[in-house]
Amino acid sequence: MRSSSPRCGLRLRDQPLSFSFDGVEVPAQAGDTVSSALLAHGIRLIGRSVKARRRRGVLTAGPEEPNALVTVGMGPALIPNVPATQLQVRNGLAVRSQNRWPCLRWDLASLLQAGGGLFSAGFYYKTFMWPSWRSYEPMIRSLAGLGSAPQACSLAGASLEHLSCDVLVAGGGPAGLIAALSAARSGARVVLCEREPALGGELEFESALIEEQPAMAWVDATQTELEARGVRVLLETAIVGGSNGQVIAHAEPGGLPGNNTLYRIRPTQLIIATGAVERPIAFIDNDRPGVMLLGAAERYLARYGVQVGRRIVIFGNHNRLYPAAMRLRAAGLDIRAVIDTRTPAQLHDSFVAGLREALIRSGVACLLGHVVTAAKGRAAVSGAQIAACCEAGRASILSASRHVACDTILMSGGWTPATHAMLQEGGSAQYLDEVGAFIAVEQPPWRVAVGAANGTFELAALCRQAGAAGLRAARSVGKADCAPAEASGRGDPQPDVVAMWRAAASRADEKRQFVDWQNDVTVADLRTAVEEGFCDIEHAKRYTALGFGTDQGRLAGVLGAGILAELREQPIEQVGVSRLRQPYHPVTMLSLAGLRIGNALRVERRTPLHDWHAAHGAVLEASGLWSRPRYYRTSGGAQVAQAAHEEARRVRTHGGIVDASTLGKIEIAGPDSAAFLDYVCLTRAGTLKVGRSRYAVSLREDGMVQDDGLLLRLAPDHFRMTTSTSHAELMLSHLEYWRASEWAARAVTITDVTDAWSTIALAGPRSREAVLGVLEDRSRAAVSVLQHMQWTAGLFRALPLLVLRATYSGELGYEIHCPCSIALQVWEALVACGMAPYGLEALDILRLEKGYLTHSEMTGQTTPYDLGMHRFLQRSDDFVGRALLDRPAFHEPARPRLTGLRALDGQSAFLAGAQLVTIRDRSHPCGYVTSTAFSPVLGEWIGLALVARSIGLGESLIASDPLRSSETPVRVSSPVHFDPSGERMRT
Amino acid sequence: MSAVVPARGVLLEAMPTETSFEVVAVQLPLVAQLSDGWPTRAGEVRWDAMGRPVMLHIGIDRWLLPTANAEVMDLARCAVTAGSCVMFEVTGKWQVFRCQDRSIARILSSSIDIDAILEQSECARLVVFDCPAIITRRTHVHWILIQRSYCASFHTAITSAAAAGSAPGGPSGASR
Repeated sequence: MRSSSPRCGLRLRDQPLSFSFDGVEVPAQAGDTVSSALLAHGIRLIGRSVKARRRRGVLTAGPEEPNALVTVGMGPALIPNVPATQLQVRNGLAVRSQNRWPCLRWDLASLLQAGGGLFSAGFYYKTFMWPSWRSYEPMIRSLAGLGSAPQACSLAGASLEHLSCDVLVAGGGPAGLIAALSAARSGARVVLCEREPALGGELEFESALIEEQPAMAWVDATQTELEARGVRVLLETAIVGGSNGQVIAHAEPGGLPGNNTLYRIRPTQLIIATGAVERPIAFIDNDRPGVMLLGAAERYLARYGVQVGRRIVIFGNHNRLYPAAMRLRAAGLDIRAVIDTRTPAQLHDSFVAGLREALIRSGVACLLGHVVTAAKGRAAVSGAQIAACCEAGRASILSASRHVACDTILMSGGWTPATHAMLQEGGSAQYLDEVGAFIAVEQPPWRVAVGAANGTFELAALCRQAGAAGLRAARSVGKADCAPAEASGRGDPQPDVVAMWRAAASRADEKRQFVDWQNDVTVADLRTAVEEGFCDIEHAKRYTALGFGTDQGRLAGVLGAGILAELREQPIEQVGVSRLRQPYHPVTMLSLAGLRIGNALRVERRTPLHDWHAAHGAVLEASGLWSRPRYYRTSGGAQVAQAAHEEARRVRTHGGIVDASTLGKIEIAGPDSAAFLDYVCLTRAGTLKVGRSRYAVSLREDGMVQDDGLLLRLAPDHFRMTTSTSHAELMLSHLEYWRASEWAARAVTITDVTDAWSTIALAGPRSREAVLGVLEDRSRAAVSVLQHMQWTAGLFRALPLLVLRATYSGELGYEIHCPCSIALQVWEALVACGMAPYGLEALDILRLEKGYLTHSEMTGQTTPYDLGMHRFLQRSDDFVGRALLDRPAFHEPARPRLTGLRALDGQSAFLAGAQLVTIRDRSHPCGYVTSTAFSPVLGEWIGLALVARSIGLGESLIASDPLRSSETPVRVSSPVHFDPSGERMRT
Repeated sequence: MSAVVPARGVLLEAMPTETSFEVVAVQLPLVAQLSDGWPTRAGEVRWDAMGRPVMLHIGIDRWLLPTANAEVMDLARCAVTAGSCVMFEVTGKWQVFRCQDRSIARILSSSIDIDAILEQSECARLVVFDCPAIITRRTHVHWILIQRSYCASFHTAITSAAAAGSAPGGPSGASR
């Protein structure tokens, strides 16, 4: 309680700090958590419950805290739902309570408590029906939710680290330390994760000796040895999930999101030593500020020197109530009573009986076979109502009750082993009666639980178990260099828990017996769930919200299962526990995103000309992973349409260049390369002469068109295939697949050279002059006589390159394939020769005018027949896709055919994606528009479409675009809108 | 061009582009047909006298010659002449970075567990920060080959990783 002198605790340093809670300055010491500082300052009311808005104080000292969740920071970038029990105090920290308005002490919504059962389980399914749910929704939504969602993010990006090790030990308590030590002494590479800022676990407060040393001295010595042996100890790092042998650990320094680290650890062996979570007991008003877990009180005392109360009642069902009472009493707390639900016959341990006698002699009322039935007091605990029960461990008929004045009730209903990580990827839960909890069994050979996580609580047994597990883990990875750690330990007695879930109460009072603090789930809610048929633990969980929220059922899961078992009058083994989901601890979305945020969300591929484009007004856009110029602001208009039209017009009248380096380039070589290409391409490669190229189309096995490009024969057994930008990886994979399967025994090799060669494409009447202008004299003769689809080697400033006469736009055109190291020089030389750059928008216009595929037509659902490639299908030999090309369905009238479209009035716009319907039947589309553009040379909107073959050329259709509310009459035309004879490209 | 990763002051030295080749086996198994000097074990690397990787076994039937010096070119040409292999010129496909700072391993661990990967193999062809890469190291000098078009993204990612890793409370802060 409140004290002005510095406190002493294992985690405290003598350095004063201060922070604010709801605007009030609170003094603290370095090492304090917000909850320890508030408790030390006498502040017990820390929050309000989410549904009933009941006053709540601190219940635990760990991350499972359901009540003391606070909001950190101010403004839009606040951080809600931070457990005050984990949040380290730092100077200037501003903390606010949650779920209250206008203030914590006087909350308007708490008046809803007057409604009694208004917020019982499933209330919103049954009420708020009239006049409609919508009438109530705004109010309910404003009240719902934990804390307030931030509107902005001010957190620093999380870092990520991949680790692998022989043995990962989760948990730095006695079991984890011994297991890690044992494995490390055997020579294994060990990583140890501990969610707390310090090692030791319960040894921080337990009266224990290990290897005849005081426990914390042993912890310090062990930590030193672990570090000397190269063990990586990750503090404030909790295991939060994992799969496929990978374990995810999350570090949150200071208990505050930001500067987090996500570890992806691949251990060969995993030892779970995550301990156990102390369990509460359900009694009336067990959520009052002043009701706390016994272990939490001991932790606050040992770690922070905080006495959580002055007059204490201890309530529980196991042996460890007594040593705890002795320690608290020794620290100066007034222990008024120790209420043990067990009968005298169930108290076997003579050492414990001795402690009990000593407590009685010192004036502490130690009652066996009794329960605390209710906490008394309105704003905080002022007393405990106590009664004898006839049947220990079960809620039963109560005798007359009596009142004990106190300000704190410390309860302990046993422990729930932290089995979260053990119930993924195999593993099932098994109830152990002697522990009163479930442990994980049926584990895979690479994972084992030790210590309290395995239901072993007695220190000597725990030491033996952990040491053996560490040695086994090391041996399983072939390490057994040294003797294992064989620590001997003596500590608190075996708990001998006799399961007890709740005190008996009238049905009306069950509404105040809390099972899940965070979601205001009471015994009455569970009873309602059972009565309404939601008997299965998973159904009851979802109906009542039991085990939802930030603690993921660590506190309430087994307690709820125990109470359900009582209500259903079944053994708890039959009820089971609900499935535990990842993450086991809250993880910020930022941590999950890792480095993939902002500009780093996805990688960007850049051509060697990227910087030139950016410096010359290019508006870049993503094309697959590549960044490509869409248009250039310098082309005569700030708007995309103006610039693109000008760029397209300039290509037709003069000439232009486009950076085509993004095209996939795959080289195929080997004695069988021509035969291989004949097989994987629709177009023949074997008949192609060296020095020539050919339009190449490849099909999938199902006969659908996969990609198109060019095939260049560089040498008799060496080809280069160009692919479309977006299909480069797909084509490489396609070729590799066939090479490695059907052609594995043949002499073919493939390699991707996309990044080795830059491609610059020239088009337009002046393109020949420009190419000749940049090449050395000795190359010009060969280039000047190049025929369409021929290539030759050239020299640019004495450096070799390849010049191919081919076109993307129907104009006279060339492709220059040059090493990327000289791409910029070649490009700049071409620009100096009068070739202006153009972008993708202009390229699409030019292609569309010529009826070239824009790749909106290669959808993976179109055949070569659909796309008018009949001329390639005059082959009698086999090739990929051939077997299925003769399917009758491919030749039905309803199959699409590539056609051109023009607006009937010659002016109206129609856009890609519009459905095509006939004037007679507007309800059944006969095709759709794949691509459109305004053609600057034709002065009208033109398009390509996939239209049913039954629709003839010249027919009128309607391009219906309901999303944009437009209907444009169009006429079906030839796909080739411009220069149908191809005269310009053969100039 | 050299790239400094700001948060840790790590220098990633971008090596000048040199003529490079990929050598791919035409017929398998190839190992028996190769002369001495070929790195034939999975992931094996041949180094030159200056400590540069000159022949990396990057796939079961594939070698990269990032620096086509006369010695390895002779080996490769012999294999090609014998009909065992095909050579593809890939000059410029890979940007080679050299890093002599040990902390590069920690930065790379944001994406891959480099120690585990290079434990069994001298080099590895993999994806680092979503970028196709080949990594090898010798006596703490890391050689990182990034497919050229990804270099800008690689630099952005490695800078972010270094900044995140060096933040207070980051891995170095949390670890003891």
